[in-house]
Amino acid sequence: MSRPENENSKEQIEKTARELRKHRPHPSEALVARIERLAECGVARRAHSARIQVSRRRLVFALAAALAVAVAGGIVAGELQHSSKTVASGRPQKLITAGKQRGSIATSDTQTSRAQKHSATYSAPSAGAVQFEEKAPTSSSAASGAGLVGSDATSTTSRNALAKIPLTKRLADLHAVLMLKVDDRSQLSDATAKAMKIARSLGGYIASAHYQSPSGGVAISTLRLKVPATHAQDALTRISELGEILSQKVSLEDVQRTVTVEGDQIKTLQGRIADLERSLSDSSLTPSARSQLQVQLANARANLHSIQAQRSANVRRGRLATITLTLTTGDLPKPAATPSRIHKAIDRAWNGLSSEISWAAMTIIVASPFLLLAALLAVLIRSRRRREERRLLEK
Amino acid sequence: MTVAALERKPDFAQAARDNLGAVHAYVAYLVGNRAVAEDLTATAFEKALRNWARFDPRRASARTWLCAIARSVALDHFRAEDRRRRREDAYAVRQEFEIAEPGFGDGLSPELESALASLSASEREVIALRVLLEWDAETVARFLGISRSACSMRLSRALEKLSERVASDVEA
Repeated sequence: MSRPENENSKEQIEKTARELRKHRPHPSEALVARIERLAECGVARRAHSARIQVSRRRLVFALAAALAVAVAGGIVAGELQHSSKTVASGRPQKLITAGKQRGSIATSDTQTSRAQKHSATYSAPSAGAVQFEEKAPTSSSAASGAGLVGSDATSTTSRNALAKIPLTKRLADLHAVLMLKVDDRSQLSDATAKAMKIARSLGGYIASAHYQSPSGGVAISTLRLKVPATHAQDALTRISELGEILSQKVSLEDVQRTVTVEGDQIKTLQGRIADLERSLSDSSLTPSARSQLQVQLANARANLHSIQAQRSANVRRGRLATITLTLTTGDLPKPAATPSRIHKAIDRAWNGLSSEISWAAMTIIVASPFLLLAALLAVLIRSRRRREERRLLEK
Repeated sequence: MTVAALERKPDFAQAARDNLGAVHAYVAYLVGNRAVAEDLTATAFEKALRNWARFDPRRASARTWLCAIARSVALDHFRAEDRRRRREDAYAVRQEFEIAEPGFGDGLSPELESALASLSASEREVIALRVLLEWDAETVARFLGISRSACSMRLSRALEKLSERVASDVEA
């Protein structure tokens, strides 16, 4: 199209637009009256409709409040969980204070816990068996009556404590776990050899030995020694002199009562077997009565063998003390710093929150395929509607 | 909605009185039939009254909002008409209704009236919005859900087509 033609066309368009504006359609009077009536209704409705408005700001506030409730819920849930755990762990403590120790004592003393306040934890692992573990050994009251080991924490006093193990003529299962530090590798091998020598000299033996000396790392030697219970005290004292005590734990369980009970059971069973044998020697027995007696005799003999074996094992356990000795050239790893109350509270709140988040995530994961499908459906419907609208308007 | 926004929001009566002419003109151009346009405009205002609580002046002006409702009402009308035509095509002879009165404006030349009638609804719609209601290109593009350039292109083509047809009618 040439320039004058173009200008003509523009002029024509302008003229058309002007004419369209000039002759714009106006609503009829009937329509104006109809809308007026509607407008009057609108005035009456306005007051009502204003009340049902939901603003975006309110929605933001609601979301913030929901978040705050979620956080508070997390904190409360965390605290509740913590308090229920505390109650659960507190129960055995009451049991032990009520019932004292019933023939089993275990005590531990670590250098790292020296400066800590006296604290004791209790647990009841199985029926009748009670363990007592003590940290920071200034508990004279606890140690005095029950024969607990441990008072002060220096190596010397620890050695003294070891020397105070209440060994009597009663059979007792003694298990000591010692960790000693030596200066270097040569001392480590010397101390290992000496510990073995001490065990043998006291009539014991080496149940297992493990020596690990990696180049450039901490060398460790672990020995499991069996020594006669009567010499256990002597063995512990001598072994503890081989190095600086890093940690020690001694448990003592009385097995005398068990052995005595088993002895009584054996005597009873032997009597019962003698009776049964006597009865079986009677020739006037009916075959059925004889067979019944034979079954009873077989059962009694089996029981006797089992109890005898058990008693022998218990006697062995009582006669031989176990010493697990770990010799090392390095220090014990430092314990993690005790978190403050605020940190603990934050941790618990975080745990609560994370459980909430995991639930929410799980819900989203489960619902996501359906949500995706719904979104896809919505997009499809919308695009179809738009296509249809275009088609309708193109006519 | 905040108190300030509520205070800014005009009441329905005022909005209806202010925008009746514009909405009616828009609908009349869209459907090309004055009688139908009157009915649809009334329907649109009734619908607007029912939904007046949802109107938020921060998002759009009352005129835009009312025109959007009118558009949706007009589209419903087109759908219904489309269904009716298809039904009639299938079962009976289609009846074409004659336009008894001027469709697009009082005093428009018959050439312009006829040229407008020959345009598609979408072309008349963009003319109504840009020329009669004098909305800017940005608002119209947003209203129609198309890009600004597409909107300008549609308007210029519609006006060119209109001028050409008017010119050819005059020559004839």
